[in-house]
Parts: sequence; structure tokens; C-alpha cells
Amino acid sequence: MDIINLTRKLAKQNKYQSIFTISKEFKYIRIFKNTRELSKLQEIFLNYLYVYDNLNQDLMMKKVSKHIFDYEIYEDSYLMWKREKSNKPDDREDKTSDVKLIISDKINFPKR
Amino acid sequence: MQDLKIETKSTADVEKILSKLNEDKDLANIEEMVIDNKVMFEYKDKKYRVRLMNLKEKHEFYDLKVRKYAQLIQDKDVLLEKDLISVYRQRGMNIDELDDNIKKINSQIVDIQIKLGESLAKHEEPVILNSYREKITNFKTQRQVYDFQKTDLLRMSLENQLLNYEAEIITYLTLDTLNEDKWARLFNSYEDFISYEDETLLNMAGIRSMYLQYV
Repeated sequence: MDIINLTRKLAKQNKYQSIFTISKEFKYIRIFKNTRELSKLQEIFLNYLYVYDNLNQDLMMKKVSKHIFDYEIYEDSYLMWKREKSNKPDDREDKTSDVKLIISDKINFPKR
Repeated sequence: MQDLKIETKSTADVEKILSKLNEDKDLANIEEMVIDNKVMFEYKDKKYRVRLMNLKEKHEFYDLKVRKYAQLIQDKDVLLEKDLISVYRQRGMNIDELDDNIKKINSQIVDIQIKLGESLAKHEEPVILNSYREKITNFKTQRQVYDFQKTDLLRMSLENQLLNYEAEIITYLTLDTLNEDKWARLFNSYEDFISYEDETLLNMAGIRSMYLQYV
């Protein structure tokens, strides 16, 4: 059995995707029995939970093809392209930005 | 009276169902490992489990590993990976060439993956996605051949021998057995472990403990 692949499949399941989404809102919902000292396998599982949460959100917002979950190669490739795209400097920012930066030692963020 | 229709499954269907059942079973095992960091299993009507090491065991692991390293590094018959590579080079087997091939294939895979990712973002037709997928799969198969050759050539390096030893110590330290509702370590010393006769049990425990500690 390919342990990494099975961990990935487990993280993709609706059950764990739901638990992950709820646990972000309600801190008392726990995924693991242990509260500290994550094993390597748990770190990998958490990473995949995050990956599939991201992919599900993009699919919901129609940012990605409905075929994304057909093959794991599709999932990996889309994430790779997304990462590559976000790493590229956006040259529009320099030319058209009309937001002026205030140089100060204190910034008052608006209250939510 | 209504005729009863008996649906017969083809061999391929049965294989598919069996493979799905096996995957479900594997997933249940993995779920247990991920959620609890413990893996229980039965062997010859006895219950066993492997778990993460506690602090005391981690110290013992480190001590044994250091001692083994000191022993291997003084052994002239055991070569470091870099020395093994240079011996192979003298004998006409170039591992650097294998590395170059692996790097080239990796870069080709990345290029196609980025194109595939973009196609998915542009909602392109499945036939286009499929052609990229096939190219990536072919490159990955080619890479596997080189990866396997390299791993096989370096199997006897000091680094690999140390890794195998680490796997043994972890199994020795983390294998518990259930006696009268209480879990206790099966082995009190590394000597007990290496002289244990039932290799099947050690292999079953070894595979499971590696999943937890390394992966």
C-alpha cells in the first residue's frame, strides 16, 4: 500500500473535508486524538486537507475545470500553475497603482 | 411469475470490486494511524501495536544511532555514498549521468504540468487535458527507471546501511504487545530484538512503525 497516496485519499474524503472546514471555525473540533507532537504522517495529512480545501473553494468559484478531481496529476498540475502564477511579479502594480503609501511609524488600521 | 434475473459480473468487474474493497480496508488502516498515531494489529491470535517513541526511547534511539555511525565510519569496507559514486565512476558506471537524466525529465514534467494547470484554469476540453496527462505519465515512467537504477547502485552505502539500522531500532523500541489488558514493550533490549526468531512479526511491525516515524 502506498501510504502517502492513501493519506491523500483520506484527506480528500468529504468527511475529513467537512471536519477540516468546521475545525477552522470551532477550535474545540479536533481532527487528531493527540493535541501535541504531530507525527510526520499527520503533517502530511494536514497538508492534504489544506490542499483539497483550496481546490474545493476554487471549484466552487469556477476558477478551475470540473475535471480537476478526475486525476491526481490534474490536481498537482493546477496547484503548480497557481503557485507559479502567484510567484510572478505583477507589473501592473507599479504602473497603475493609485494607492499612496504613507510612510509613518504607526498605521491605524480601520476597526472591523 | 416474474423471472429472476441473475446478474453475472465479468472478471474485470470482480477485480474492480475486490480492489475497491482492499482500498477501503487500507484507508481504514491509514485512518487509524493518522488519527491516533498508533497502529494495532493481530498476529497468531495475539494483539500488537506500534506507536511513536517517548522521550526516553528517543534518547536510546539517538545513542544507538550514534554508536552505529561511529562503527560504520571506521569500517574501511563500508563506503560513503560519495566514495561509492567515485568507485562506480572508475568502473565506467556514471551516477552523475543518471542524476542529469532525472533532472532533465523533472524539468520536462514541470513544464507540461504548468501547461496542464493553465488548461484546467481555462476550462479546456478533456481531450487536451488528457494529452498532457499522458505525456506526464510517460515521463514519470522514464524517470522511475533511472530512480530505480540509482537507488539500487547506492543500496550498500554507509548512509543506507544507517537508515536500515534506524528502522530496526525504531521497531525494537516501539513494538508493544497486549498482556492481560496492559500494553508493554515486547523487547527489553536490542539483543532480544535481533535474536527474535519470528521474522514475519518483525516485518509486520517494521512496516507499520516506519509509516508513523518516517514516511
